[in-house]
Amino acid sequence: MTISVDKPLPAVPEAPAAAPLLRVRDLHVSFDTERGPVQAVRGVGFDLARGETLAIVGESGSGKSTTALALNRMLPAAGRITGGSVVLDGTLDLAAATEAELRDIRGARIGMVFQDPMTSLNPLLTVGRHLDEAMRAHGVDRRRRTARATELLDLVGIPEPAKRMRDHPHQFSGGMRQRVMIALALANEPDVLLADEPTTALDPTVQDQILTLVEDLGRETGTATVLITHNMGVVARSSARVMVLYGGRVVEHGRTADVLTAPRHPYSIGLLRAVPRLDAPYGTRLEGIPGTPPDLSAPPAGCAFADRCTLATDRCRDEQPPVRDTAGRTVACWVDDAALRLTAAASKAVADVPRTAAADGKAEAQPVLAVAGLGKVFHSRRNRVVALDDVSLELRRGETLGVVGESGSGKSTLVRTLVGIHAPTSGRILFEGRDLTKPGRAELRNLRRHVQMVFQDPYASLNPRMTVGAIIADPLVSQGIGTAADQRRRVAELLERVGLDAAAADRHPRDFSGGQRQRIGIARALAPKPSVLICDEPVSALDVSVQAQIVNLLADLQAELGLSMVFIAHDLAVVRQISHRIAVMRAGRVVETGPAEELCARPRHPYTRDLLAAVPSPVPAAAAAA
Amino acid sequence: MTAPATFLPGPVPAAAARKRRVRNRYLRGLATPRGIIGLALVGLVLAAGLAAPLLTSYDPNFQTADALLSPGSGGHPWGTDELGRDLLSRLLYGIRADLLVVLAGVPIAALAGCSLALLATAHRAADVAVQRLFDLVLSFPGLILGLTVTAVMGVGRGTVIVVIALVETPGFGRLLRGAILVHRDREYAVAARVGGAGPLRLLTRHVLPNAADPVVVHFALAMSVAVILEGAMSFIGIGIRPPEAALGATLAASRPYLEDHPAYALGPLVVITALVVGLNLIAEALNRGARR
Repeated sequence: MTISVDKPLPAVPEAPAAAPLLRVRDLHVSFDTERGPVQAVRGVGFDLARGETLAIVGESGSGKSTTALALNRMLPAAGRITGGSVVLDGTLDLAAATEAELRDIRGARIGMVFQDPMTSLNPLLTVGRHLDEAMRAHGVDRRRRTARATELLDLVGIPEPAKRMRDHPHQFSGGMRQRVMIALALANEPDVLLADEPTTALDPTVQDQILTLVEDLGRETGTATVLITHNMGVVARSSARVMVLYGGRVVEHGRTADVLTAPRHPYSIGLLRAVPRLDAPYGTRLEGIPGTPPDLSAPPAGCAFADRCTLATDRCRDEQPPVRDTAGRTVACWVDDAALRLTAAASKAVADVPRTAAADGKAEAQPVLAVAGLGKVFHSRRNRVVALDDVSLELRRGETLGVVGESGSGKSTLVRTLVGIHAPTSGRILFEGRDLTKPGRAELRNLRRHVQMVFQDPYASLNPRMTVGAIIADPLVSQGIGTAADQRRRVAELLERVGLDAAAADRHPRDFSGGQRQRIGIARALAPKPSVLICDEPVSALDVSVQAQIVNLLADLQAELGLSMVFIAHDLAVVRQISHRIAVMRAGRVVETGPAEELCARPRHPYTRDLLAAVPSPVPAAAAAA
Repeated sequence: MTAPATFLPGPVPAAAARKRRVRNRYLRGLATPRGIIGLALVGLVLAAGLAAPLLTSYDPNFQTADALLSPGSGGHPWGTDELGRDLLSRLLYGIRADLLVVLAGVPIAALAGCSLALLATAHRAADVAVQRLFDLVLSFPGLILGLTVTAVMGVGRGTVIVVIALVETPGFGRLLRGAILVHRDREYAVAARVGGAGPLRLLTRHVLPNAADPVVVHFALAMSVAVILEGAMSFIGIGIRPPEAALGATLAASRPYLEDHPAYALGPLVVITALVVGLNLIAEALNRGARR
């Protein structure tokens, strides 16, 4: 695989060796909202050298995407840079450049790859046309463009590039489209590639391919990459340096190996501890970070993390922490290292309470829920899609059955068939030994009472017009369980059970964060006291620290209430964390089932092996070997 | 039993922040500059129509023989028409006639449209029938439909109401049908079904409250279309029967005298414009309020 580097040299004279490719200093970005300005980025600074990969991590609202967008001034209309500089090549300050200057930079010197490959290509244009436009905008002549477009598609690993040039985006899969996006970003051989969550929407095996591609390209073309991600595994795998953002500020910045193996800011420590890991001993409890991120329309006077930090003192709340710089590592924190290390160790010891597999030894008992030979075929006007093909599974009493698989593997169809939203095309569903394949009215009522569900999207699954109390009580009202007073009591009890204030009952869902909404969804599912809880990707839409809180909550509820639980996810590490047994699905079939620990340690099916191999570990390879 | 301290999910938002907000989001939308100007324009026209007997002492059909096409004097502040009738009086009573048909026709259309939409979403066969019915009505331009209905029913106030109702029904129907279909498949509706909600509860408690927004907004827009439709019908002489005062008819009658007596045409023009602009502003204000 070769790439021609015959782009005309930049018009500016070669910058002195000391000047980095990109120098960002004290960058401030603010968004105008109805509630006043929100200071999304508050003083971010870093240097990026040629060929280097810098990862920026942080949770939603930490300012990581805003920082990336601000670098080439692609902020949405409500956002503007309110201070600082972004100097390219030591000469041009992009924060102060004119729109014409920026147009010459965008696409030519700074390329961008966005998160969602499904919406970032124009459906009316062929892939070849996309590439052609990108190059024409920067004055490449026509004959060169066609040749180069084919070359680029070949470079990003699209088979038969000359033929696929004439295809439209909808003829490509998600992973292939992301390759096209990368080809587009690289069309003019940019010096900097801004990749904003480039693999978040992709399955692990595809993510693996895309990351390999970006790494290879960086090596071969000398492109520097700013990689925005919330996935610590991706950081460990692909970046040399990492910058941790919180509340719009850099809290820690250093070499990836150093930061990931020995984080020095309480937030980085918490973040890493919240990540489920395949190499952690089975049964290790995750640790979430308590609380929610700060409201940046009224940024705190002191450290933004102080409210969620167990080590915070009054000084942390009142004064901005100093930035300590030791050996190329910066940490913005008042707490000194000794105290930090002590707490980290102590907290770790408490955390390791092994998770007992409740179902062990009860395997002979009758399964609560079983499906045999389940099939589901969707017919559309032209297509016939087999979503489930001869699926047989059983859920034993008191166990958590994890179901993993990539998108399109039939996981969601399976759960919707289990709860009676879709009718199966073939096969049988047995609940407590009774056949519920074609439930009658009474059977359906029984099913609704005993089998409840937690949904993936905490924003879409709560009715925005109802109060939280009414949402949680809805199954009780629908099923006529208890009087109004009973229902109110039950709502208060459930809110407390899932860790929310009982006062939440009078609010609307819009007043709550994603994690809090997911708790509301769990409370609703628990309302009719079900014996089976089906969780359809309940944590995929949440940040890691919140994901850990919800995984722990579900694990505790399962153990304390003796629930039988089906837990669906695409992240094998999360599923291993909570499940007693795991079923791996692919293309509508179950390819492997087994005890969680054993399946992850000794996978039998080649697909399970691929899946496991594709999950990047948050501990850098070098450090893990040491 | 409380959750261990390690997963306290953060503070529940403060009640104080919520107290300032007006409860109803439509009212919140209307309480903006856009909404207030819209309400003021429509309110002013409405008040003028309602207070017609107080604002003028002339009967709209009383002819003053010695004042034909008077440009405005002490006795007739807005002047008279070619038959010596007081223009201000005809304008004010014209507003009454106009608003009466609009306020009767649009709610009938809303009711019919929404009922048909509910029917359509309840059953597949009904959906096909209702959709083709809407197609049939929509295949006629409004005025052609007006002419046809008038040919059958004759000229009169009732005819205009029927035409407005007919023309506006498919709009309401399609809008609500689409909204119901969208919201019925939203995850919260699926969640309600898993929770045990039957079809009726699903519809009334979950789907309709969320699907109602576009219908409420459309109501204001439909009124402005109805104002124009009524004006157009009486302008070409198939609307409210003369000599009863109507805005469109007054406008039509004023055409020969535009140069010599501009106030004649100006009155109905200003009123119709104020109503249409006002109703559109209200619709936009409601729309923005609903999207919060």
